[in-house]
Amino acid sequence: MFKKIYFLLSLLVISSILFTSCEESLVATGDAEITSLSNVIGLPGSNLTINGNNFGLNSATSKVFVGTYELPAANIISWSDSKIVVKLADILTSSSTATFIQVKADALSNKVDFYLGNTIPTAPTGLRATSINSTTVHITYAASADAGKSIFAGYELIVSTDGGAPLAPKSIAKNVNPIEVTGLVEGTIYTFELRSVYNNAAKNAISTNAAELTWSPASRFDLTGNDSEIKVFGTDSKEFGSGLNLYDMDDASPKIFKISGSDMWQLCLYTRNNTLEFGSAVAQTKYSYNAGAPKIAQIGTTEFLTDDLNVDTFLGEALNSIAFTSKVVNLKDAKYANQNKGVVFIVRTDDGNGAYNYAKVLVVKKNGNFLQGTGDEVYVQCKISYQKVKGVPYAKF
Amino acid sequence: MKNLLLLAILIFTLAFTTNDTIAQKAKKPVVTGKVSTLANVITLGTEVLTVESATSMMEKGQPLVLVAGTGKKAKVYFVMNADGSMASKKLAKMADKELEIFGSKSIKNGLNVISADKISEKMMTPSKK
Repeated sequence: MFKKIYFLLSLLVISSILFTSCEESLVATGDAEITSLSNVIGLPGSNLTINGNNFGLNSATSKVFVGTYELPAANIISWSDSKIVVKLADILTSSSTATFIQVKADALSNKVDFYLGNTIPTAPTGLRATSINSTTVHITYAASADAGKSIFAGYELIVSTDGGAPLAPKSIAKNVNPIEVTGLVEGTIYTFELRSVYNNAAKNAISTNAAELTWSPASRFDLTGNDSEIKVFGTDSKEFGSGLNLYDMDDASPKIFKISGSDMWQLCLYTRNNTLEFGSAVAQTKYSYNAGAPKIAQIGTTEFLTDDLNVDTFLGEALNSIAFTSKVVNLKDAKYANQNKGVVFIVRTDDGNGAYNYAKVLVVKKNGNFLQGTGDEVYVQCKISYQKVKGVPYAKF
Repeated sequence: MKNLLLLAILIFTLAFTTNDTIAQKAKKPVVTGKVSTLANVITLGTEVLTVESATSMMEKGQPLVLVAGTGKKAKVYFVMNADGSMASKKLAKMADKELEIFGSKSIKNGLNVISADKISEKMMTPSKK
């Protein structure tokens, strides 16, 4: 009798083991792995398909995580060993910080980047520009707060003119900064909008509040109309001029004038008695302007210490938002003298009728000195960005 | 005596005129002459320049100069702009004309130099009857 009971019990144990083994064989035999998502961005309430391997059967212990949030079982629409379809819970909001999808079968799967709700990347900020020449502008910006995400593709630049149709958007790789924009027309004020773009072909979302800036290209002059460097000579030069006209209409370029052409001076250099003064000719009272009063040129309160008009001279505001006065600047002042870079002054010239042309004037420093040359023929060298169109302070006003 | 003193003061003033003062705008040209290449002057050539040939010479690096007077009295001037550059570009543009140059003359390292305020074609003066 006992022998029979023992035999039946043995059969029961063996069959239980076999049954358990059969059940195990229906569950995942390897590590669960997510290979792709139907979409890397999803809104709360939308469906998401998770593709992969070894998801096994949907069981009480199987779970899908959106970030650290565990989706309720009711949100799992279908589940197979290689594909899970879920509905993103409405409880998730665009402010959720979900950054990945993860499946728990036997064990936790790999994490795959996923962005919930916030389908629109934050825009870049702080757009600033500088004019390289009459057709080209460089624009810098502070990167989007989302630029570090793997989904972040880059930027899109849209250029338009007031009342004109926007030019075709230009894709900008995320590490390109500054951005070079070519093919522009001097004096035309362009609106530049820079938007962030996610790498999602389905949505290709762009930020709703693009960073915006208005700017106009301006002419660049490193030489005079005589193909000579722009040299403003010292006061004691007997042969060459101490006065600078930023844009002489006859030469269509900057021009140096001697005191005999003082009525054409806008900026000037004064070097007598071991001084080094550069600035508005009308404010430099140490010259006798017997040949005629100089033209009005005023210097702005904003200035840049740099050796290059293309670098470190970016502005995000119209030049007429700067305060201007007719003044003489002492280049021996410690703030200019005690560093190795040149200085860029913002200048505006008055045509006599209150219409201004705007410019940036770089006074070059070489080997630590503004003053170059020897003896009486010392000089400072200038490079000039000049907006030829009156009343255009580079940017919108 | 008084006149001599005034004349001396005037000469002294003009001689030391620099960028801080000037009595008046120059009204008379300091030199009148014709454009030539330096090579033509040195080789005693007789080449007459046109605007095209002068421009071509300038672009090839041949210095253009102004020759005032003729024969043994001829003087050769290097013409400079106020920015310290040679005025070859302006001379080339008017190479086929007789030119008047306003500015100041000096001798630098033995060379006759004109620092030009203005370069223009010589105006024809009406003949006296």
